[in-house]
Amino acid sequence: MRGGGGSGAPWRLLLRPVVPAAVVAVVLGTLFATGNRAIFVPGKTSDGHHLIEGACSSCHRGFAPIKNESCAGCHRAELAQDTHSIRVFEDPRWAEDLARLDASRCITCHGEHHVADRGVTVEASFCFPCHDDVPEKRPTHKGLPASSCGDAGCHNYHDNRALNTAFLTREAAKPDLVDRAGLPSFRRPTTGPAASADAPSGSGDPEIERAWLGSRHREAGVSCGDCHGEGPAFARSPGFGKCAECHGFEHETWRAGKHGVRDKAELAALEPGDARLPMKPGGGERPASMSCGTCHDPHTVDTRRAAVEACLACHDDQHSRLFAASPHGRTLGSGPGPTGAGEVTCATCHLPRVTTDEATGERVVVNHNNTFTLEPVDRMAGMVCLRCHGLDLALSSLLDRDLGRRNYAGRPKEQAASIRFIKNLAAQRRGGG
Amino acid sequence: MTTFSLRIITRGALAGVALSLLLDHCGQAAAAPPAGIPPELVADYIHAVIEADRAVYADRVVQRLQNKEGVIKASEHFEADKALPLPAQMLRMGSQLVSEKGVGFRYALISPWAINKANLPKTEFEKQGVASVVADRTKPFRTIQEVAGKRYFMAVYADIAVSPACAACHNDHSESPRKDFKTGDVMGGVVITLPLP
Repeated sequence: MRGGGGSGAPWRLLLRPVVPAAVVAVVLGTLFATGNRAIFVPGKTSDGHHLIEGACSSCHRGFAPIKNESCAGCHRAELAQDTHSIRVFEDPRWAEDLARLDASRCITCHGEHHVADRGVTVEASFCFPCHDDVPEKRPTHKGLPASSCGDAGCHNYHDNRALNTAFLTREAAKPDLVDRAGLPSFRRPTTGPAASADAPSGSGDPEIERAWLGSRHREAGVSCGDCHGEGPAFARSPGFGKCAECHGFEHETWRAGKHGVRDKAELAALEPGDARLPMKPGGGERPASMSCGTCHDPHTVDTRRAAVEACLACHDDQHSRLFAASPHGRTLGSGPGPTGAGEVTCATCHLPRVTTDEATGERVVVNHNNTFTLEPVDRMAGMVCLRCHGLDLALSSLLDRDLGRRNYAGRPKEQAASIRFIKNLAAQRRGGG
Repeated sequence: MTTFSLRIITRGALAGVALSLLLDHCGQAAAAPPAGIPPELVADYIHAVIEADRAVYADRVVQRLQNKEGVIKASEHFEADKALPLPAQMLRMGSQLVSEKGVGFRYALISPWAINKANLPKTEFEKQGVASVVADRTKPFRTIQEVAGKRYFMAVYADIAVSPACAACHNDHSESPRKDFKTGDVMGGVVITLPLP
């Protein structure tokens, strides 16, 4: 027996590790190649990136450490306004501070595949390695806890000019409701109405044509052929690349947010089941996946539907379910509509209207990055809330996470620490003067 | 023949020596390092531009439009207030654009009486430098230092209140630790940092 087995033993010894390794390699390779990459993710991916964790190359270049350039690929717009710009830290005056906290690298504070609160993986007192002299240099800040820099509504690392003493003082004095019609309104199209639908003969649908006749597309002179093409080039479903030809800002901002980031990462379209937030069960009115047409019917161009009903067809968290009965939800129907002045929809806060300067003149457009106003909260306060509310109510409400879950039905449980601080400071100065 | 040969040989030798001397001289000239511009002179040039731009903006723009003609104000919160940026902000915005270009050199304002506490002297060099130019505004404070493995030429120049608007604004600001500035006073220093090869 020993002699018989002796001639084959070396091969069996060699095959023992090779075969399982080959099987593992084939399995892993197949999983990787077919896009099932969850097994390769070393830990829980942040809320901001979990939808693209299957596209490793969005951030990683092989096994090299993540460089700032990878982050800037998607976050260039935010970084262009960064007041703690990476370039600042090339100044040798910061060398000692960088040795304590390397603020010249995005991943120092935004580690990935960790459990993190709001995408920040350093302690809330992260300002202190560089700014530990603040209590000494600013007597007004003596005794404030280190964690209060960022969570009190005072400072925002990437835009430390957003909340300054003068701004807080001026805005904190305003009443809770300052102007219900403070949001920018869309301008009416100036191109002139399209005369008639130009769909190829025989393919016209009376219902679609009726919808189009009452639409903004018709007002703007956009006819069937402009989207669908004509003759042999006719496309029944032109795809959202066609929308992007005219709505470039909306398309780019959509790809920067959770709704469209999978398109940017060249992954399959977002499905409601991919989300971490509660979504409505499948079937019914819940759409299967995300594209422009999921929210926008291109024939009616009904922005009211896109601004409320389309959101609530999927979103099923407490905040969403309480919208209709909330103070904001009750404004619907109060304006001239659709989404007229004075109405507050889901999109008012989560897809805010902004004014852009373009060569063709000023335009009111919609920022379709649905996560842009969520963090830091002062961004939503500045872009949206202050158009109708005083800063005291706005900031105090945004910092009260429980009130947010209840869709702002009620008063914040406490005044934002920044507002208290500024009011106390003003009172002290008046007393001192 | 002999004399002719000797003459040829002598002339050839002389020509060879002359040629070798010439080549040697050329070789030396080619091998010599380029003279370049000393870093202190480069810093002087840069400072001259910064100082001139700063004086023009403070006096011909802010002092004239705000203090003399009352057309528009200059404000720390110039965007919200739809006003002119303060002269110090003007310098900082320019400095930020330069640093974003990644060319390596940088400049900044520091002061022991800074309104924005981030602009207080921070390093030992900055503390010594600003103290030196406050004591003697005519001489920039210069040094060469190695920081984190890189060599830098650094200089601090006196920053002077060139118009009444400079002194008035600092004296009136609630966060200003000094309230008795006069036109012509040294208010702090302009720091210029050049990376060295």
